[in-house]
This record gives sequence, structure tokens and C-alpha cells, in this order.
Amino acid sequence: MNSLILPLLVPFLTALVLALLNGRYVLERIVAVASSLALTIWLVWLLLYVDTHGIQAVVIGGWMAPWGIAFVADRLACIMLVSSATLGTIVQVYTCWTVTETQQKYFFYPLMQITLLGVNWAFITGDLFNLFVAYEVMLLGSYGMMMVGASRPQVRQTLKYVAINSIGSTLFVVACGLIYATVGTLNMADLAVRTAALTGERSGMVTAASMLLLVVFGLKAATFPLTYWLPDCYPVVPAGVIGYIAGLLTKVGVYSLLRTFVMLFRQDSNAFASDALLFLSGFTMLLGVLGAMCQWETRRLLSWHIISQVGYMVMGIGLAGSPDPRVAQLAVAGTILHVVHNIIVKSCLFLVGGAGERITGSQKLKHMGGVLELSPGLAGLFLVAGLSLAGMPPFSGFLSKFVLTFAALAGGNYVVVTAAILTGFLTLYSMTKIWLYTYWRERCREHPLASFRPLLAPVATLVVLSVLMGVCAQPVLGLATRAADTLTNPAEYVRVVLGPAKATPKVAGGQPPVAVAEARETVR
Amino acid sequence: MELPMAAAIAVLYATGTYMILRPNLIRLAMGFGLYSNATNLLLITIGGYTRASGAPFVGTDPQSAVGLMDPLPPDIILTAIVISFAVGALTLIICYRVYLDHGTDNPERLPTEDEHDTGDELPSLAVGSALAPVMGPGNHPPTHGVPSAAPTPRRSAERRRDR
Repeated sequence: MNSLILPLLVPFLTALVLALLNGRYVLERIVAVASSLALTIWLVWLLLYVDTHGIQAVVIGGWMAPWGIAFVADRLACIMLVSSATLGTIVQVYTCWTVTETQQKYFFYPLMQITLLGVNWAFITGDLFNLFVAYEVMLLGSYGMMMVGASRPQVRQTLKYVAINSIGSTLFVVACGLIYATVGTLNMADLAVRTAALTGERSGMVTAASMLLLVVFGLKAATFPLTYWLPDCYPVVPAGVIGYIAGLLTKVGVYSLLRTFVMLFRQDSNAFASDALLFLSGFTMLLGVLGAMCQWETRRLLSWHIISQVGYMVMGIGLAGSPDPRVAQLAVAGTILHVVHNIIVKSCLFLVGGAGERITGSQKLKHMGGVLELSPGLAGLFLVAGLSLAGMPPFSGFLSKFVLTFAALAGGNYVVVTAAILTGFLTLYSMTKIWLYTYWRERCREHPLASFRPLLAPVATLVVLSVLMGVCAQPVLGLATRAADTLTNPAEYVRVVLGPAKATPKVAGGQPPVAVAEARETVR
Repeated sequence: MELPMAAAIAVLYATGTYMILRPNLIRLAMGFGLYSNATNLLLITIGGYTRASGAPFVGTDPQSAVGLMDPLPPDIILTAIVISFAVGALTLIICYRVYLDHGTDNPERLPTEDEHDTGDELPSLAVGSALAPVMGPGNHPPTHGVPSAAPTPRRSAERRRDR
């Protein structure tokens, strides 16, 4: 299925066209939004097609699969692609009103498309080193988006972001090298077959490399010990842009964790990875929510909440290592639901926050107030999004948290469940705090009252998506469960990518290609 | 070949770590350069390169592949070099821009809180002004390398102290 390169090709070509259109502000916005919208519609079709016809794959250049770079669209990748493209479109509509012409002149929309390209690439690739390249494309785009306009705090915080991600990239390449040296392949399907059959010393070596990847992806996803860059960097990003960056970039890290720790590293000695993930997830949840409680600025407060929500997803990935396959499947399905829910709701909160900042001219809770009387619509949207984040029924947050908690209880992980439920309550506290200060109380000072009404439409779309996801729980959960099946039992994935011969476990752990085997000998 | 390579990699990583931990932005950028070189050396070692290994693509017979170098690690290295080149250039530019903005290349002397965090003292732009929504928090106009008034008097003294 050659059209699988479209999620890369469309943003790439759009970025080139937009760079040429620099200076024609209105035309640039129309082209950017139209291209993203078209891609979103095509991706929705692809999701439905993959769901009915099974996994689709294409090997670039026609090389055979373990050597050529495969692009694979399984259900999980399609779900993520649809979420990313939908969010990209909505955020670009939103930025039509918030990004200034000065910022747009600094190639804002081309950078946005490059980031979209990197994110799509990370979701659709079936090769570990290719994933690294996708990460770098995504990061370079996001560095540019963070700095657009180049104010002093922006440049200063971007330096921090670049520095921490450079270290992550180094570790990623090292991990790729170690995995290639041990297993002899970087193709994900091939890896899934071979790591499951690994034993002894090599298995330990792959576990070590997988821990390096845990650091890399944990850094991107901002899990517990590697969180502190996030609440500093995100608040300086221009309003609107932050909706995209905050909603999606950490989720790419979570997606990679899902892909690697559930599908790739299946050797026996890797059981302790799931314990490590569970341990980290508890701390991530509590640290994030406690950090949020003592913040008095909307963006900073919401940035800390990103961390606590990532904790839930990591908890699901940790639970996927459970010996009971039903628990594992449920946990992975819950993680997928929570990722999608969070992409929608978290960006929605940031976008609502951006509109609130325009009304009140401040992002400090103590300076805001009276938004409820000025714009009841905006207040209503915040209320729904906030309750959804805290996990109130009937919104999307309830569904994903319920599935995750259920899986954790079925697996007997009571400590993590306690942390998760506590985090839910404290999230509700934080949302109440924003509600009380920004919306409910009376105006405490003059507000500039900038125009904000056009911003309500994109925000409302996100809220509707969140409500739909919560109300239509059954089909959504079914899709997530089918996606989880592919991850926990990658036989179909392997068959589509490598051909029917390789899928049987008999061939598993077979000889690496001749040249590679020879190289192994010379290394020894 | 493996032992000297391992030693070289270890020295490069150690030096890189030392450079990154120094309170100096240029050393930070150089440290990342060392990291990327060390990683590339590691990949060459993994590829099992020896003087005897031949060029990777010869013939179609699988047996003729014996004794050839594995082509994938050099491929990865090339990609990694290109990427680290781009990121390195960007890092240097950002470091220079931070130096111009704040008059120091010592990250420990950079303001830790964002400027708009101290908005209590600077309400003139934030409240009631028509510019406020456009120039809102985080959207300050670009300074284009002109250091603001505050750090300028202290600049030369700071630089002396940094040395």
C-alpha cells in the first residue's frame, strides 16, 4: 500500500509550499489548514480501512523487509495518526487568530508542518533507527515552534529543551547500536520475533539496551526523574502553539514506550522492566499533581498536569507486563484510550487557557476573574474539559481511567491504584482552583477584553470529541482493544511486514543475515 | 582493535560529560559534539570494522558476502552525523542568542524565572493596553540582539567574573 507515505509527503510538501508563500499571511493560513484537513480525512479513512482489512505495510524502495525500511499502519498507529492530524488541524485553525504576523513571518506554519511530519513519521515507521530520525525531525520542528518570535524567555527555555533532548538523542543512537549488535536487526517486526526467543546473555544485553530506550522515551514523555524540563519550557511557548506541543509531543514518547516495551522487548528477563515502569508511573502521577497544586499560573499548572497524566499511561504500559493476558490486553487498551483522551483534553485546556489569557490579559490565577460573566460559553467549555481531565463521567477521562484502574485491580497492583485514585482527586482540586479563580469569582481588576470569540469554535470541536469519546464508549473501547491485541500478540504485524514464513515461532531467533553474522564473528 | 576503540569512546564520553556540566554555553555545545563523535565511534566498533573487511556490495551470491563489512552501521553513522550537524548548528545559534540577550554565557547567571513572572511590578504593558493581547505573556517582540537596559552595566564585570 504505497499511499502509506502520504502522512509524510503531505506535510513535507506543504511545508515547502508554505515557506515559498512566506509573507502572504492569509493565503499561508488557508493552505496550511486545508492540507491538514485533507490529510485528516484521508487518515480517518485509513483507520477504518485498517480496522476492517487488517494491517497495511509498505517497504520503502522495494528492499526486502528486514533490510528495507518498513512503514506499517496497524490500528494503534492509525489511531495515533488520526489524533495527531485532527489536533494539528484544530490548532492551526486556532493559531489563525493568536499567532501574530511577526511570528508568522518567522516561518511558523512551515515549522508546524515539519513537526506534524516528524510526529506522523514516528507513528507510522516500523524501524527503530527510522524512529530516531523521525524524533529528530519532530524535535527540530518543535525547537523552531518554541522559539518563534524569539523573545528572551523563549530562547532561554528552548536552550534547555535542546540540551536535554540532545542527550536523549545520543542515548537513542547508542541503544539502537547495542540492539543491532545483539539481535542483528532494527526492523520492529523482526525484533519482535527475535527478542521473544532470546535467552541467556544476549537477553540480558537487550534488557540493558531497552533500559536505555526507557530513559530516552521517558525523557520525551516526561516520566518521573526526567520531568523537570517540562514545566519550565512549555509555559513560554506562544498561546495556541502550546496546545499542540503540550498535547502531542509527550504522547509520542508514550507511544514509543508502548511500541517498544509491549511489542518489541518480549524476552523473559524483561519482566523487571514492567516493575520499573509501574514504580516510575506512581511517582510520576503524584509528583505531577503535587507540582500542579502549588502553581498559580494557568500554563504552569496545566504543564504539571501533563506529567501526572503521563503517569497513568506509563502505569498501563507497566501493567502490560502482567502474566495474565486479559489484564495485559485491558491495560494496553486503557493506555491507548488515555493517550487519545489526553491529546484531546489537554490541548483543549491549554487552548481554553489561551482564550482566558486574552480576555484577562494575564495568566496568573490571582489576576484573572469574572470570565464566567464575560463569556459563559468559554467557562462551560473549560468546565467540561476540566471535569474530563479529572475523570468525571460521562466524559472521555472517566472511560480511560476506569479501564486502567480496572486492569490494575485485576492485576492486583493495589499501591499503584491508590496513587492513581489519589491523583484523580487532586486533579479535581486543581481544576476547581482554576474554575474558582478564573471563572467563578468577580472581576478583580480591569481586563483588556481582546477578541476571543473565533477561538471558541476550535475549542468546542475538541470538547465535542471528548464528550463523544465518553458517550460512545463501547465502539471506542472495542477499537482500542483490537489495537491492543496487535501489540500484545504481534503475529499479524510480523506476518504483514516479513511475509508468512517468518511469522511462525520456529523461525524465531534464526540466523542473522550472512554479512551480519560475519560481522558478529569479527567483533568477537 | 576493540580495546583502543573502547578506551577512546570512554574518554570522549567522559570529556563530553565534563564539558556539558561546565557552566559555559559554548562548552555545552562542544560537549554535545563530543558525545556524537563518541557515539559514532561506538557504532563503528559495533560494525566489526577491521582492515580485512571488504566493501559491502559485491556480487549476488550469498557466499560472496562472507568477510564483507556490515553496511548498516556506517549507514546509521552517516545519518547520525547529518542530524548532529544540524542540531549542533542550532545549539550554537541559540547559545549565541542567549549570550546576546543576557550578556553572559554562564547558564547559572541566567534569570531562573520568566520575565513575565514578575508581572506585578510591570503592569503597564499587561493591563488595559491595546497591545496586551498581541504582546501578551511569552509573546514579547524580538529583541534582535540588542541587550536590554538592565544587564548592560553589569555586563563587563560579569564577564570578568566568568573567566
